[in-house]
Amino acid sequence: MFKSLLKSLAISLSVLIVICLIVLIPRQPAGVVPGSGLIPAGWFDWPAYRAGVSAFAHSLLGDGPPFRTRYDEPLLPVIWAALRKSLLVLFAALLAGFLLGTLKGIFDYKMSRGRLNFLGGGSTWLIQSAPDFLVLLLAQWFIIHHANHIRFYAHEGIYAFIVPFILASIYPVFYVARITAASIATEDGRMYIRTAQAKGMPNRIVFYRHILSNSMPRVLTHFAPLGVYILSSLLLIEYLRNFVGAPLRMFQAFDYQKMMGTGDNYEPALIIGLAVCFMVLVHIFELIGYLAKKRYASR
Amino acid sequence: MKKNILLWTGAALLAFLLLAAAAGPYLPFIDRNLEEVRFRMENGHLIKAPYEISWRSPLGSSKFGVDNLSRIVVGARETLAIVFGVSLLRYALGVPLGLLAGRRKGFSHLLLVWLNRLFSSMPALLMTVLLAAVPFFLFSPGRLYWMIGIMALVETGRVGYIVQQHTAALSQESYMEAGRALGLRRLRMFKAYYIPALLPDLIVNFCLDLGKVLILIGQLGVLTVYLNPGSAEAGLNNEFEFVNTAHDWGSMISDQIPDLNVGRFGSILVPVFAIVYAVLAFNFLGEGLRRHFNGIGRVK
Repeated sequence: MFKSLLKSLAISLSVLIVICLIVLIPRQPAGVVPGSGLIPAGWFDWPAYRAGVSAFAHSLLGDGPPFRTRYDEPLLPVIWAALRKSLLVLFAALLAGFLLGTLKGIFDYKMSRGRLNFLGGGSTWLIQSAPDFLVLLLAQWFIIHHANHIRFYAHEGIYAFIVPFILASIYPVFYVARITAASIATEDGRMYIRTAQAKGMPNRIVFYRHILSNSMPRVLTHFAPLGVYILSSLLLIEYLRNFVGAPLRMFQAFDYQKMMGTGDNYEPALIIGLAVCFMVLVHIFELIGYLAKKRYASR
Repeated sequence: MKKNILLWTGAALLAFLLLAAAAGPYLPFIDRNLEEVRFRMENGHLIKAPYEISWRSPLGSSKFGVDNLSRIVVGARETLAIVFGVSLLRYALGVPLGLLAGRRKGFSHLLLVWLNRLFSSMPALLMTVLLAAVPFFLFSPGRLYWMIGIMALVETGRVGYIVQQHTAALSQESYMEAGRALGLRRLRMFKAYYIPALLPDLIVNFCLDLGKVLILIGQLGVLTVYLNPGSAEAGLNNEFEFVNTAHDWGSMISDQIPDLNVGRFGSILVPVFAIVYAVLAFNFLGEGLRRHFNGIGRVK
């Protein structure tokens, strides 16, 4: 147990080092294409890279200048502010995904025997296979043109939470529903279920106490991947709403622009800080999933 | 056996898509050169682009007067080529890695775990943009090929993991033991025992992955990250500016993103729906194939 934990920690650490090394690659082009005058060339600038890595290490160890953002703000408050804007939506969407998704999964499973199957599993499958930006753009179009009492771009107030929350939780609900329905289907018809039914236990109790609680652990293994997925779709939601939470702040820190050159405002320390936060978040998701699974398994 | 509607729907949708990509550009109403027609005469009036939906432009046009339908059709070939390229590369790397890591020990297992940890520590989209913005890739003339490599790499670990799980489960089967007892070499075991058993699942997952790659291209498009080098041109203030020269659907989305700021959604929804159509085709096909293979298993 201890050995595997140590190994996992070592892997995480080496991953973090590689991420740092990728992030610290200098973003200023090393020169221009000969004869072009302006067009930058993507040569690899070793001396700049080495200097950047050593400056970063010095700042990290405390004997260099402290990290600053492009607006000359201290780093940690900026990271915290960005995280705070996204975390609530992230966890609310995860929770809603699992609660509503389980209900929809039960509904889908119940429908799967009838003629209206397309209303259950079919609709879930169809919505789940649509790209997330389709839903976002359609929602944006609808709100702006037909329901503009809803403030799509709200930065504070109730809409600042509700709009991204609903947009972020659509996909998780259908994702969880699909897994729940499949998981129930594999559990149903097993010997112990038939035994319970043969003993005359009411169907409702068999379903909730036996089938559902035994299929939950399988659903909960998807907790961490779903969390990462929401984080990723949150980037697009924040991008379209122009609301700077953690994923969008990270994207801004890349300073990827097709105009005005790229890399002038690159913020490596901020990217690494947010990457560490994301890694911690993923581990928290894994831990929650693991604990919830264990709770179900022990019952 | 019940008719497999999903499989036939998927195959028909995909066949139409491939036909449109192959023959579409030669149709008479498709403008192969994607000319920018900023003004045109309609019923004696001079009209400025973007044009409304009409017989002359069935899907409307961009604000520069490029016909949307033509651009979708012309871009289909490029888009599909990128999607297949990324998926093939991803499977060419992921499947051998997963097979080798099937025993859950050794170097390849460690590499797989490491790759998975690296690319799941951050959303794949952010990781792709982070790598895409490295100047070496960004300004490279072969940027498209680097981008294909990056997009393949970010999910190689996931493919490898799935293959590893299947391989590990398969190695418990008794006929695998028979193979081992015969003293077959590892390569022979993979070729004659593992791959035939894995193939149905691989084909299904490959189809579903095609859809995922296309969605990733669309997401990059929304973030205005180009896949192609484009041409860098001098812009304002002695700076340069990337000008998109590609026609893939992702870059078509990114060309229309500024329209969102003035509340115009007409042109951006055209490539988005093209992506939805193709993703549905891939998913129908994948799901249909899954049922088909399951059916075969049951008949035997």
